[in-house]
Amino acid sequence: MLFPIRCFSCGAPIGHLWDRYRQMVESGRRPGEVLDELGVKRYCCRRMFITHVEYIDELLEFHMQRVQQLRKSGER
Amino acid sequence: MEARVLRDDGKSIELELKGVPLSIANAIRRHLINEVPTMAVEEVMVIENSSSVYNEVLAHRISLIPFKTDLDNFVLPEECDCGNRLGCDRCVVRFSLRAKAVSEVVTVYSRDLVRETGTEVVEPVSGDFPIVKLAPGQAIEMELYVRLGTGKKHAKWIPGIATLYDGPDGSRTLYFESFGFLPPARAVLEAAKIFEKRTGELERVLMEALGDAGKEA
Repeated sequence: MLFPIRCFSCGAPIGHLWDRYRQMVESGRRPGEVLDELGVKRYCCRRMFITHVEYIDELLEFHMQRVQQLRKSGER
Repeated sequence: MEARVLRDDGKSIELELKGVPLSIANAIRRHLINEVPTMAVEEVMVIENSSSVYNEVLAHRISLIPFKTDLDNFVLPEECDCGNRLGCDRCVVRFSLRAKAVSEVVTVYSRDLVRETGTEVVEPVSGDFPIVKLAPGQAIEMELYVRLGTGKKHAKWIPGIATLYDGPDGSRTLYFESFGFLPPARAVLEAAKIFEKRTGELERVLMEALGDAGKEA
């Protein structure tokens, strides 16, 4: 859902690197290269980034639509 | 016994140990992981949470954030003489977290934690940890109690990664990578101190138990 604070396997903190990782990858750079630059060296930590899906954005979308619906039905 | 620093960049350290038996070197490594106290959020009081994330999930995320640890001014709650369940100035640092999204989605970061008590040393190791995202209208308000603790009680307090490698001629390399709670050199030294304290205590206890029987030739 949200990017994890720590690597599931080794416990190293990784959450603080997420925003930078995403920005750099979105600017067209190769994920592997970006992770090297961020100093994420172990493959347990690297898979955390590569396989992550930021699912909460969809939940927030759902929440906002639901609030709007409730408001509309309240107005009627 | 001999020890030499091969490398220390402030994040990780590599030490060459010569003439140190495996049992002793491994004891130091295990003390590093399980016994060196570090600081993390141990108790969370949720005042408001209208976010999409459950209280316990939010509390768990926050608890995993490492805090820069002030070992000189704080003691473990179980070793504190205040007798207060909530703790005192020597065993707890209080933080608060307040965030609200009004018109846009807001990401709450560890930099939004506000320290209410304690020394300036104690703060999240990085302000960039995303804690939660809030949709317009959602808000969180909570009070956080940061305490010292050890890795044997919860993995959130493990100071870092400690490994031991065999080298040539019976030498060993101790590698320690700090998670940011303590400088790596300090953590290794603390582990050795705790180990020494314990072996001293063991000797005393054994001497008491064995009494005269231990002195016989």
